[in-house]
Amino acid sequence: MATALGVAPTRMELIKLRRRIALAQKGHDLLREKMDALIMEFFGILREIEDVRKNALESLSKAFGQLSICQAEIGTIETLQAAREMKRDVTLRIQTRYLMGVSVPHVEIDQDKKAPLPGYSIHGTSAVLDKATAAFVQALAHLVKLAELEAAAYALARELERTKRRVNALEHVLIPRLQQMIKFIQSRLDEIERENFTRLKRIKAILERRHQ
Amino acid sequence: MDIEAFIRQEQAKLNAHLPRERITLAEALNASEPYVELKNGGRHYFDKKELDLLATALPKDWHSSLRLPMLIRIDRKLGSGTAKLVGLEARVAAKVLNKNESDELILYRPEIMSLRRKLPTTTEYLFVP
Amino acid sequence: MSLKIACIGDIDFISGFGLAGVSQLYLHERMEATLAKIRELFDNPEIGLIILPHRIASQISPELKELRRKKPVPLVLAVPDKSGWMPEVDELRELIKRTVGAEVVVRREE
Repeated sequence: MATALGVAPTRMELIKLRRRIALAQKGHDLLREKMDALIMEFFGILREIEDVRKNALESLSKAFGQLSICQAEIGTIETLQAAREMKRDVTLRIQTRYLMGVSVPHVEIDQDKKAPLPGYSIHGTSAVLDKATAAFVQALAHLVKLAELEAAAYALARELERTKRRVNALEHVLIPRLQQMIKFIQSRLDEIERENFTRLKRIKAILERRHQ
Repeated sequence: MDIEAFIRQEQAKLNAHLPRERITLAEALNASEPYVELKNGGRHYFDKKELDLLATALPKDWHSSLRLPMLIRIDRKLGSGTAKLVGLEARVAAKVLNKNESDELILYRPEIMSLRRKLPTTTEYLFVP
Repeated sequence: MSLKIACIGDIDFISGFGLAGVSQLYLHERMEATLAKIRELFDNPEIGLIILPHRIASQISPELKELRRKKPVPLVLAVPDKSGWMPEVDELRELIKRTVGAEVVVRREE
């Protein structure tokens, strides 16, 4: 049993193990705090996602409605043609931000200001095309924000899972194992002490008999 | 497993997201793309809207005294779900949260969340070992 | 550093986003070709975001997950198409259940 646990049943070892268990407990508490903070952040982002997602989906559905009207009036192929020939080029600026060691993106959308909204040329100005364009420009702004938040939520969730695994390892494997070792040493030491006591008693009895 | 090494490593990782050196609000306001270099080698950018908010919350004379990101100290001794800010950072955070200003600000979970929502890039957690 | 947005989907989908100013438009035909295109976009450092309909994303979700794990950028966003179709299982909700689950509910009520 002693070799199975890999410890020598000595007082010295007992002291070492007790120190280790205190350390493991401290590490566990720290990670637990980190997990709490991550959960707080995670919920903050989820709440934001709820709001943004609602707006994004509403504006996207409206935009598809406008698109249908446009396609009916000027034709599906012609609408695609206009879309392909758009002069405006929307770009993104993505910066990294860190949240407890988790890299989360921050995205800003650059609407091309040089080209005003009706950037297409071949169809001239078509009111239905203008409307569909404006609706999709608006939807895209919401969607970019949603993409940023979703990415942050996934990144945080991954870190949360990792931290949880470590907390669990300490809580359910490492600390119990240390406790088991301590218990084992303690009982071995008690046993040795009892043996010593009996031995002492026997010696005492022998000595007393000699004296008589 | 070497527990001492494991715990030391975890502790180091716990605060690896903190900057090597913090910058002042004045420096951040002057930079075109304000950021800090982190211990883990990454770059953390500040949001200009938050910097503007801080600039109005704090008299101009103090702009070169406030260091960013402000540190939300998570200390086990305070109990779970509790955090602390100290010094000028405590005063600014109190102002942003509409609380009484003092040199030591103790925050509970809902207030921490509220502060983080208002200042997501200019505050960061510090885990006190 | 400006990054581009890419968009993959049916004709309605790419027409709409094209009008919004998205320059990288790809018409979805066969799934293998679309997946290859997405992999290509992931290797392109100029792309910052890929928008695609849920209808496509839900069919290649393991592949997307794998790509996302490897690289934080481009971001990937799945949205409803013109029909409004959304998967019954919300990926984010599943994630919450898995990562925080019942534990947080309990902790929050403390």
